[in-house]
Amino acid sequence: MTVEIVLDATAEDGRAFLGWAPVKASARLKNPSPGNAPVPVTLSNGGTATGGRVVFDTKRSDAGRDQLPIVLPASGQPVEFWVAGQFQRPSIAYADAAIDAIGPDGAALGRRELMVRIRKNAVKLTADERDRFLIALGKLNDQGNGPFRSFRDTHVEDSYYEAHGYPGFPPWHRAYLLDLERSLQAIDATVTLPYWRFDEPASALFAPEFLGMPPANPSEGDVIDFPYGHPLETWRTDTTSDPIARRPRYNIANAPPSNNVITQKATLELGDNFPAFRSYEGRPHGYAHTSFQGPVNNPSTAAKDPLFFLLHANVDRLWAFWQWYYHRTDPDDPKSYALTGPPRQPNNIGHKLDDTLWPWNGDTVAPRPNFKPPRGAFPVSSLVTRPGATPTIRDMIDYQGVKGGPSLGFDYDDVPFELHSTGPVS
Amino acid sequence: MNVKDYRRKIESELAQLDGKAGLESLAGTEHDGWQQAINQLQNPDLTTDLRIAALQRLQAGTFLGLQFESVRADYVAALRNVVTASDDKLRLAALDVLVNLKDDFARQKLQDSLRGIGQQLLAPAAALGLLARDDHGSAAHIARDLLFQSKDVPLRAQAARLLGGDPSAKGLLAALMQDKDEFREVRRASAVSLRNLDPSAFAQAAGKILADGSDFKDIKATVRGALNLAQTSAANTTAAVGWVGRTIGAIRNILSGS
Repeated sequence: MTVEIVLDATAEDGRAFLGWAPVKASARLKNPSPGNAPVPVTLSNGGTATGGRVVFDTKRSDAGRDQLPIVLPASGQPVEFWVAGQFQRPSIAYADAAIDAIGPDGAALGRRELMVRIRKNAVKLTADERDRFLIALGKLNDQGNGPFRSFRDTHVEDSYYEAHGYPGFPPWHRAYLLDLERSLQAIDATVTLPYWRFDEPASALFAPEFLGMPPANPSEGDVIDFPYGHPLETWRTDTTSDPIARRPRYNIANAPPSNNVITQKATLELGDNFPAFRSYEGRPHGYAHTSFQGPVNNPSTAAKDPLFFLLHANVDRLWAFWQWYYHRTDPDDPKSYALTGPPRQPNNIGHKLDDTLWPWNGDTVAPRPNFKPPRGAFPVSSLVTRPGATPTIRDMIDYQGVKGGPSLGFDYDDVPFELHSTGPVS
Repeated sequence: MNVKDYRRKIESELAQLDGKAGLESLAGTEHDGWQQAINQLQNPDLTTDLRIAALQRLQAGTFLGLQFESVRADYVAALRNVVTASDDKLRLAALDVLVNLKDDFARQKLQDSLRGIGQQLLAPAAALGLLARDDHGSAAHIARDLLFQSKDVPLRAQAARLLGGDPSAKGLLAALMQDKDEFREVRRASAVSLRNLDPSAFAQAAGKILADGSDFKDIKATVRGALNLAQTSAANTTAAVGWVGRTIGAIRNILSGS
């Protein structure tokens, strides 16, 4: 007698990936013993001691538990349940998490290996996690010849107002990051985009084996001095002669000065409504960019540097944290998203709630950029159905599906999935 | 941790905030004062750190879109003024920004500096590094001259990088890449540049290096990494998985010195 466990969040290669948001799953008896009696089974955590963990529930909830008793019909009819990654217990590798089906006598009747795949603070990655990310990134760039080129070409001067200076800044960049992450996952499905927590010391991020540092003497230039064989050693973008160049303007043993790169707490204090919170585009976002000398400090060249994506992962995480903390996940709630400030002419195109996002919409009609959109349709995930080929602002707001529906397929290590009714917390 | 417990923990931490006083002091400063910062950037009586802080404030403004447009022209003009400032750090900071903006004035100044015309604005390696960011061959001949004239390692390495944009440099780069008497930084830069210019010529030279039992492990690591990137397409997950393990092993060996 064995138990088969099936998860909705299963990739084409059969591997399963969970975040904090619950997904539907089922268990069934594959070859029941004679007698046609239903079999009580307990679903519990398998996997390794330090690996990812999951929680179960009979309904979609934010209060899953370690184990779930279910009774499986002898007919082989599946029994549905919900499963999610246990908050703050992400995986570090595939199959370090698993669902075990335990029979009434304690016998293991089935196991479903999986990964609790979560975006993490870059300085807390294991060496294997870091290397998998770097190698996937290096392959995506392929010395300037790979798909990364289209990401770099998306974030340029002529597309500036699709993504900056207006309310669509947070959702546009969320889509951009997710597009990149899915492209990395097409190379290595165990990779997620780490974030640079720029209000905390992060010297490990700038260690030689990660994003590196330039020579100590500025007269030698700002090109990053990677170890030989490093996956980013051959990184190129605009030309065949432009490696990664960057020099911090602050002591990397510390965080950048907090009067400019304001802390997470201060960012939350910007306000509990979107119009107030949106000023984070200036502080800390803008100042995080300008904490360095090099292309990353200029809007039209910043995406040449891989650091851009870790910086923006943190900008997005701050938005996610703010959304969770203040319950701002309902796109129709003006405190979650609103068109305020000077409008983009004409008609706020690209920033209204149901506007599709460039470049994935392929639009070249003004005021959209008049060059060929560098990215095609938004990459499809075999794990989740959202956001579809042409994402909108709305699609990017409730990224976990708190208000219902599937998630976008990513989560941050310190932003939980929590159900709530609309409205502010006390 | 239970999600509700986590919320209580975060709420408790936020309750210990230093209040909103600090933030209120920032109110309005984001959109005001850019003109003042432009003046500070150009003021030789201020310390370098203050002037660079002013530059950073202006740069942060460029991330705010239309709001910054009213001072953008003055900002660029100020940067051009600062290019000839007496302070090395400030000159470099200004040229860095201007090059990122694809500023022809800065590009010409850097080329003149490298040719020995007028003031030497930056150390040659730093100047070549800036030109390489947006160069379309205009500085290749300067890089080639410097490569033949100078024994300075950072300068030679930077010149080899810049020649990655010069198709006529293939032969030179192949020779440098395989020259065991050359500095290892220059060999590496040459290898990467050749890979970008002519993958088949690179593969040929790389094969010789890998087959040479007496050649150095650092250049072998570089060419092996570049070859592996070339051999696996982004969509080829199966190949990538095997390559991941091999490359991670190679990186670890290099970092551990084994």
